[in-house]
Amino acid sequence: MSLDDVLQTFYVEAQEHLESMENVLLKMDEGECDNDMLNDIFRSAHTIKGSAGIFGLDHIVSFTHVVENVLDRARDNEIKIEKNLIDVMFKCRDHMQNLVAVTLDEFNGQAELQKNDGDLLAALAPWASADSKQTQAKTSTVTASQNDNKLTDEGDNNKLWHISLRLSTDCLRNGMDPLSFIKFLSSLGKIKHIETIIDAFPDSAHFDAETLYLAYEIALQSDASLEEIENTFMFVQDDSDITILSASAKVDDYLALIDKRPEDNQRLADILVNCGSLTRDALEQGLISQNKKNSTPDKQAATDKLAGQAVEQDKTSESTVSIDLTKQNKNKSSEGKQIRIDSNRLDHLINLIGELVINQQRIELLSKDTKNPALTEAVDDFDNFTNQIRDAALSLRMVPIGATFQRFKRLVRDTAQALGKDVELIIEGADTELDRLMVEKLGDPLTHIVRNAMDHGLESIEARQAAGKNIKGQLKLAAYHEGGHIIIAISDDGNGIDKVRVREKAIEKGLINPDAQLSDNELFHLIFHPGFSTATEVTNLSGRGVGMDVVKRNVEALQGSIDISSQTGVGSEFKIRLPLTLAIIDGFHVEASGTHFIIPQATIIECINLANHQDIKGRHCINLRGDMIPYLKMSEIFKLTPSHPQTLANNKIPSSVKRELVIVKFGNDVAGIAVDRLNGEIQTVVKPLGPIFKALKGIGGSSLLGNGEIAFILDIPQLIELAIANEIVNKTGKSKNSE
Amino acid sequence: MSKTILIVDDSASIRQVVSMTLKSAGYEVLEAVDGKDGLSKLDGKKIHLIISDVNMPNMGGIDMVKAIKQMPAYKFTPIIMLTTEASDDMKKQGKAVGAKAWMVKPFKPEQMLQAVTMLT
Repeated sequence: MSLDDVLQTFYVEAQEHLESMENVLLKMDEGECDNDMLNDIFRSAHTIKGSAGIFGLDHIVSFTHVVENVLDRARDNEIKIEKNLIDVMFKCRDHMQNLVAVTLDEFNGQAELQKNDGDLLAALAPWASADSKQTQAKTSTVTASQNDNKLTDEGDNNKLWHISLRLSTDCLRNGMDPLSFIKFLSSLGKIKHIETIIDAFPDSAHFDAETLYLAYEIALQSDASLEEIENTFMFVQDDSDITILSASAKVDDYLALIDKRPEDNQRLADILVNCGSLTRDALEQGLISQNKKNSTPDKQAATDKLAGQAVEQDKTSESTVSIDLTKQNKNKSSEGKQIRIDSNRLDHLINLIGELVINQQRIELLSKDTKNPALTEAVDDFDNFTNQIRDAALSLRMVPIGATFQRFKRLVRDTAQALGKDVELIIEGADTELDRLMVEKLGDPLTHIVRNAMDHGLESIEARQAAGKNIKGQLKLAAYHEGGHIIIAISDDGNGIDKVRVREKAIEKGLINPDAQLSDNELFHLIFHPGFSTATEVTNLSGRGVGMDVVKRNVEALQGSIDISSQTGVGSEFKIRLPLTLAIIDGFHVEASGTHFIIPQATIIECINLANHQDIKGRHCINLRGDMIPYLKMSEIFKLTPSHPQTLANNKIPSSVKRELVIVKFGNDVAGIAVDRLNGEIQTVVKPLGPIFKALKGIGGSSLLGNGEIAFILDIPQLIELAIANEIVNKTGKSKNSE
Repeated sequence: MSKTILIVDDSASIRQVVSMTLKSAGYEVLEAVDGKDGLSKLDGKKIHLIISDVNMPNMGGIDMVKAIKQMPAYKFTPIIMLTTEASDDMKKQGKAVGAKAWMVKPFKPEQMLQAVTMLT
């Protein structure tokens, strides 16, 4: 594994944390706010900063540091989460997303990003603590003084340091051996002299083997910097008393050290002299000058006060710990039970299972020919397990729609703000699972519909007030199962689709005749026409008329359909109907002119014998129990002629007699598909057609049959459209054809 | 025999950096995603050093250290806590429960390796 791989992990991780930050912010925006949420959002910023630091992504670190600081203060109840702060935080989150997307060099090259950085930091300033600025100031002075040190170091190689060690008595108990520090010091330079002070040793009755009683005075000759020497003790420095004096230290510094230590002053002075850190003469002189000034009482009081504070703080920290513990016990989740899989591997598995299903079907065909009961039984079992494997594998690719819905909270919030409307987003059925591929492709159509609903559907606050509605508009995203399909419904309680306007517009655009009689449904579907928009004013959100036709196309590409219902003054609903999965479908195998076709099972209503029904007035249209059903002949639509002799032989039936008709329904439209032969139900793996077949209407994909032949999967929505369009052409005699 | 180090951090990237560095220095590395996971990874194994983040979901580093200090087998196992300069409070909490070693995030991998060599 290389650092690049780890960097990849960082990007994925940062993305997740950014998403989680957004979710928390959205909840906060709705007025929710508790400690868990504050902890979560703080941790997100914290982790991004921490990891970014390790990779040297300083532009992320410095910005996130301030964000983290503000969140930390909110967590400590020093500042309140207020509307303005949430707004700024949203922008900060977005900015962090941009920061994560660029490298440090790229950041330094992008003036706009840097300006944004500065603007946002300024915007955060009212909430950031003086503390964070101080920390920054502090760090800079520290580096400055270190630089000073280094400068002096250079002129004075191998200089003498004096290290006075009073390690914590708990040092051994914490698994740290003082010897390891001394060993490490010797790696930095040469230990000239070391004195071990055993004054603290108790009598044997009170001796505790786990307590450290030893103290050290060390003279070290080293060209290491103060920082390096200090780093040796970084794990113990918090509760140990460590004084490091450089060669340039004055006698006063040593005297202060001697004063500070509990040992007898004279003895300690002797030890320092022994170490060679201090000369006797200098010591004598220093002592004389020190006796002149006396300032102990003040100091003592100050130390006492400090000690008192420390105890206080210890108490508070302990109570925080116990609260944390109860809280954490509460939300023990099953988080650890999930694993991550590369989506390509998953797709590969699904593909293989597809092949397995095909093979299984071939074996089933072959075994039937043998008429061997034992074999047939075994193959039946095989069939059973293959189906189970298929279902299990497909379920791996199913993801809840919730995450997609959640993303709209932000969109709705921002759009509502931009439009000056008050909109509440309601999410239902977030647990409903969809094929991952579908979820990905649903984003765009949903965005278009939601934006349209907010822009055209929901009224302004004033208009709602005037209509006696709640000023807060409602937008609902719902997902649920309905008869082998998944329905995604986007509804609002706005003004509904303006039928008069749609009609006028359609006439203006020449889509319908001025005297055309259209049902509401037909009228609503006009908005899916390319270039159709009733918005008088084009906003940057919607109204360019390039949305709805794209929406329709996207949904149809997913083998889905859209229904619209709308009531003036009450609201509209867009219902997207989708199949459960895209990879494998339950189909119905039919044949026409020797070519195999598969009709998606879910669209089929019934099969009838065409010979028993009369065409109405010579058109491709029959009367089925009172309903007019237009139908298509496969062989005509695809201009099929039986190609090879075998199929020719099989297909001796004259085209006028005995045809089978499969009645299919999609949305509210019903049509028939005329074929030569019905071969029965089949489970089939969808293989998408290559891009060169994109223009081909009516075929959604292909599939391999058990016997190795290719079958085309019919795109029913397109065919129905075709059938209805043909019917209209025939009926009116108008030359206006479907696209 | 190579020494075993347990790294506990909810951030996968930190875990990977630490474990990459330590492995290249010849250590065995165990990884855990939070305090709870960390405790379960101990499992009676001989662990020479534990490196743990403080702020993690499910069970934070402080609580984990508390629990580890209760276990006779790991009472003396040195623990390095990873923290940021912002969390002085955390240091105090950590002290109270018995973790005494701290590394400030962001740290350089070499810096950590130096600390680890010193403690193992």
